[in-house]
This record gives sequence, structure tokens and C-alpha cells, in this order.
Amino acid sequence: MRKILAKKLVLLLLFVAVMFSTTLFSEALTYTDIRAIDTDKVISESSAEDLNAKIIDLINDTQIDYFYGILGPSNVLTKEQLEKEADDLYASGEFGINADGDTIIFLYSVQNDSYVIRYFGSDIFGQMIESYASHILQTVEPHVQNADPYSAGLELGKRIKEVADIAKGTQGTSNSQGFKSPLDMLENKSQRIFDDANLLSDADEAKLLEHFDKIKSKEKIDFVYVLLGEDYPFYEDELKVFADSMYSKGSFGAGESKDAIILMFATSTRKYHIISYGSEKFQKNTVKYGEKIENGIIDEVKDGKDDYLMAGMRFATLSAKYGRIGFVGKFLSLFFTWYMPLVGLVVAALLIAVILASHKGTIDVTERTYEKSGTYKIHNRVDRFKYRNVTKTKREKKSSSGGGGGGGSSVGSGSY
Amino acid sequence: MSDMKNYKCLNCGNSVQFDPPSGMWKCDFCSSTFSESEIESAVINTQAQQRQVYEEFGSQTSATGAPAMDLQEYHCNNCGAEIVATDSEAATFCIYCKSPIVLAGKFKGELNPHRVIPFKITEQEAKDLYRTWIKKRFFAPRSFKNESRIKEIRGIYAPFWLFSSDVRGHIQGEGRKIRRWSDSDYNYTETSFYDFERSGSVHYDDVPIDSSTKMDDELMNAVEPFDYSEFKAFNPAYLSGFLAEILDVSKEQSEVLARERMQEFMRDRLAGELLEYDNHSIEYSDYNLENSLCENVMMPVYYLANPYKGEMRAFMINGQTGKVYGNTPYDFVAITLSGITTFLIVWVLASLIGGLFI
Repeated sequence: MRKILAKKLVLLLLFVAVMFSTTLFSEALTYTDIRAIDTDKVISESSAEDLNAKIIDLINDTQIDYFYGILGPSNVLTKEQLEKEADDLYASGEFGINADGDTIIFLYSVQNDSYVIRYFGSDIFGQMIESYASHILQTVEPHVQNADPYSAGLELGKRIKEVADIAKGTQGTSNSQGFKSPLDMLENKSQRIFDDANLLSDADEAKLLEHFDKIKSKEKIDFVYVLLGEDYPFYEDELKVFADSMYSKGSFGAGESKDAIILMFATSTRKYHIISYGSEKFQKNTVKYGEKIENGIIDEVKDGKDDYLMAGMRFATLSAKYGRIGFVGKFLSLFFTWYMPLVGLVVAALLIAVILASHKGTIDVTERTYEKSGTYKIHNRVDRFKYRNVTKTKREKKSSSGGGGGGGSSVGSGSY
Repeated sequence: MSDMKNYKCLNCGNSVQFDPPSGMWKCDFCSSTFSESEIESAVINTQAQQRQVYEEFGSQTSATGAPAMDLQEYHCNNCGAEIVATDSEAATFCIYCKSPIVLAGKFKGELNPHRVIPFKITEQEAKDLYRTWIKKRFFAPRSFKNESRIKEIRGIYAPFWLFSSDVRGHIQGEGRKIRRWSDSDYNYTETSFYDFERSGSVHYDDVPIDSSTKMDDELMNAVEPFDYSEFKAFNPAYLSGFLAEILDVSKEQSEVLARERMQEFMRDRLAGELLEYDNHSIEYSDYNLENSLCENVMMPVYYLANPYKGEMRAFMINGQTGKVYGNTPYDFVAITLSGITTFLIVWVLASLIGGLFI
């Protein structure tokens, strides 16, 4: 009898705790099979159930916990409020089904087009999501713009699956054949050229390696050149995740700061990604001059030229040139930009205009010169509000940020 | 018929002229100085002795169709030479003996100024001021800056109408307040639109309007303001040693300009009450001028002419404050070279500074 009473008391306390909890998604705190909650029934009940079922399947498949909260007209939250809600939610509940507790929480306030995607768990999971962030946003954003929470939730699920697949070394969504994971690809720790696409002859590889080693010994930069074949139909973000994973698992990097730069070509999609690692200065320089490095490399493979040997040679030469650029080099690279002469031209024109404008002399008479002191009076001051306009423009987002360790800096990416 | 006054030295009988630094009348021959009352008592009124030859050009017009200038002939009290003066000239010099002559008889009725600001700056000081000023004109041709090129400098008492009035003004239009902020995804710009009205009043004292058609209005306005605390009751003796113009623009004509000027002042003053807006547009304005008064005064200026490539460049110097203004020619080679040099320096410097921070 006492046991039953104690059990009821615990349930009552749990119910009270849930009722008075600060989060809007209390159900998610107690029921692990509820991962999609539509607080104001923005989508139909059947769609919500379907979404929840798909998310549960995804969680079981990827072992990454995913919670999706849709907020309607009675819960209009700003981005900051959504972030806090997501953090509180994660802190209050038992999220994460793998050992690291990797979780994605997606909260979407439909009324004001505001949403947040927060990740929690291990650092490596965070880095992978960060690397994949621009791709996630690019694919989810259109559904948010169309006020379609159902599709937005599904789209994010697909992206989570892709991240999980790359991390596991299998990419089920776009290639059921599977491929070697970055770890498997490393046949030995000293390997720097990975020609999965078989585009380089042995002689080419030897020549390229010699070139890499020559520059490496002088500039202390490790060069990694990856040519992915048909098994890797990757796009830019996937290449970035793959490269990060490869860098973190391999022993790349030269010198004390372990400076390295990876060039990856996905030959089936004709996409490429260049990523630098190591010291902040090296990463900053390669990002700053990324366009020059990128253009030099892509010139060798675009328009059907497909000279991957020359692309590799130029990759090392240009990466060293700009990654180790000194003051004179920086000065010259700025001096020959299109905008620096423009700055000079504008400043010179302004200066000349100011001097010419004052050439005749100055006019000292103002509206107060002949005013009798103390006679100026304001008799009437009326201000009537008419209307208000708000315009919003999308902020440009950087593709990645610098930093050592597992997270590299994107030097450049795109199609060729 | 004009009264012709030649102010003579009480000691040697030579001509005396007003000396700006001392505020006295000075004889250039024996260096004696005299006060205003002393010089007035010694005025030689030459009116009865003068034979005035008057050539009536009157309403005749020149071959170009422009009105011909009325000229009057006088005889110098000092050397007897003929002196020719236009209708608007009230003080001049004998071109032979350089004696200063004041045609005091021209100041009659409305033409008689009430007050005068005496010259405070000498001709030499005016030249020095101009020389210092022109040296600072970076793009003036070097040859133009050469002092020897100063063709002529004349101290002139210029006639002005001074207008005083109570002005009531009203402006209305649209004001806009702009607020900008960002979140992690978007930049926002909020513009709030308002209808505004401002009404006010003010009293303007002694707004000067150049009342001589011979004087360039732009130059005359540009050397303002004068210090009105140094006004003296008008006495023709102040004109001795300088040129003087009498007014040839009527009070009614000048009043139109004065109204425009005061309205512009009032509009700017009321627009200063719109500082809470980031930008605004005035769509309607209305002004009333009441209790208007005006008086005829003379104020001192130096007119300086400097020829350059066959064209006379005019400059005006305030004879009281020393303010200089004028039409300086430009050295286009210097402008081009300076532009190119600045362009190159900024280009190199910006690249160097940029190189330090990237």
C-alpha cells in the first residue's frame, strides 16, 4: 500500500514538475518517443504524427537525437528567446541516445520566420555540424521562407543523416555502394596523395610528392591532395566534413603549429574544396588569399583541361606563396588590387575638391549673425507620426572560421 | 552742382587725408595730425570757387545700347587740373597732384548716409593681408601670387542699406527617423515618417544690402560681417583720402533682397529645430516681415584688381576686419600634379597600412 502511495506521489510530483517547467515542450522531457511537437497545430495532426515517426526512425538509424519544436501564433519567440528555450530544453531533459549525447534541437517560430538549430554533445559532432552548417542552412532556409515547417523539419533530418553517414564512412542517401572512411583511406601515416579516381600515374604521383616535399622542407607546410572518384559524389560541405575528419584522424601538419592544407576534388560531381589547418596566421593568410590560390588551381582543371598533376603542383606553390606571405608580399598584393587605387582616387578627389571649394575664401555670415540676441522664439512645434517601414536584408555569412585542431579554414570551394 | 571739399592742413595748407590707424586726419607733407572737429573748422568749401563743367550724357545711350555713364567735370582746388567724376562717385583724387577730394554736395536727401564705419586698415596693411591670403591659395598660379602683379588697390567707402525687421516664419514638411539593427541573419532598417511643423519669430538687426550697382554683390556679401560697434555719425571728412560711392540702388529695390535674405536666415533657423530627424524635406514655408526699418550707411572695403591672362581678377578686402575674398585663378597643372601625387601617396599608404593589419 505504501509502495503504491509512494509511486503515485512520485508521478504527481513529476506531473507538477512538468506542469510548472519553464519549457514550452514539456512532453519531450518525459516521453522519448515524442520528438516533433507542434504547440499551436500549425500543421495538420496527421502531418505532425508522420513527422514525429520519421524523426524517431532517423534517431534510431543515426543514433543522433533530434527534437523539432514548431511554435505558432500563441508562442512568437525571437531568435534569442528560441536559443534560450533550446538550451533550457536540453538542460532539463534526457536527450542524446549515443554515449556522447549528440543532439540537434530545431525550434521554429513560424509567425515571425525565426528559427534556431542548436547542437549538443561531443566536440567532433559539433565540428562536423559546424562544417556542414552552410549546407544545412541553404537547404532548410527555403522551407522556412515558404512557411512550411513540415518540409523544414524533414530537410534537417536528411542533413543530419548525411552528417552521420559521412562520420560512419557510409553515405546511404546518395550512394548505396559505400566507400572508404577517411580513416580507412589512410594506408600509412606518411601518405599525402590519395588518388581514388586514378587520375595520376605513378610517375605523376612521384613528381608531385617530390614537389610537395621540397616546399614542405622550406616552408614547413604539409600538402594533402585528394582525388575522389565515383564512390564519393560529394558536394562542397561534404568535402569539408570529409577533410576535417581526415585531418583529425591522420598525422598531418608540418612544423610546430602543424600547418597543413588539403585540396580535395570530387571528380564525379566536379566539386572541390581547399581547407587549411594549423597556425592562425597560416589559416588567415590562406583564407585571405584564397581566391588567388583557388583560381590558380582551377585554371588547370576547368573547361575540360583536367590536368590534375599541374593542379596539384600549383596547389603547393600557391599555398606556400600566400600562406607564408610576408609584409612586402601583402603590400604588393594589396597594391595591385582594384580597390586600393580607387581609395587613392576618391581621397585625392575629395582633397582637391575641399581645397578648391575654399579657394575663394570662406563665408562667415550665418543665419544667426544679424539676429538680435534673445529675440528668437519658437511658437509652435508639431510632430505627427505617419507610418513606419522596416526593410531587412540578409547578412552575408562566412563559410568557416579559423582555428587549430580538427576545425580547418575553408580557403575556397566550388565547381570546376 | 556739388559741394567740393578739399581738406587742408592747418599748418602748411597741403591736403590731409583720414589715417585709419590713428583715427585722425594726417598731412602727408608736414606729418601734422588733426581731430574731426579741427579738420571740420578748416574745411575749405570750394563750392563757390569751382567752375563745374557738366556734360550731359543724360539719357543718351551708347552704340552698344547700354546706358551711357553720366560724367561731371570739376577743377582740383590744389592744382586747378580738371577732374572727371561719375554721378555715383562721392570722393576721389586729383589724377595730377593726387589731392583727395570729397564731393560733399552729392550727399543730399536720401543719399546722405546716417552713419559710417571708418577705415581701420591702411592700404599697405590691406596689401599685406592679400599677400598672406593669396599665398595660402594652394592652387593659385605662382605668377599670380607675385606681389608686383597687383595692378591696383583702392580704398572705397561703399554704400549699404541696413534693414531691421521682425520676422515670423512657419515651415512644414516630412521628417524621417532611421534606426538600424541586426541579428545573426538579417540587417534591419526601420524608417519612421512624421509630419512636422515649426513656427517662430526673431528680430534681425541691420542686415546689410550693398546699394551700389558698381560693387560686385558676391564679393561684398563675402567680406561681411562688419563690426557695427565702430559706427560713427557720418561726416564727409572720413572720406578724405579714399574713394566713395553714393548709393544708386533704391530702398525699395534693396528691400526685396533684404526680405529674401532674412527669409533664408529664418528658414535655416527653423530647420535647426529639426535635429531629432535624420533627414527631412521642407514642403511649405511662409514668412511675414513687420516693423521694418532701414538706414543708409557707408562701410569700408578695399577693392584689389590683379590681371591674369588678359582677365582682371577682382578681390575684396573688408577695410575694417581685414577679411579677404576673391576670384583666384586656378593653376590646372598644379591641380593635376597634386591630384596625381595625392592619389599615389594614398594608394601606397593605404596598401602599406592594409599590409600591417591583414
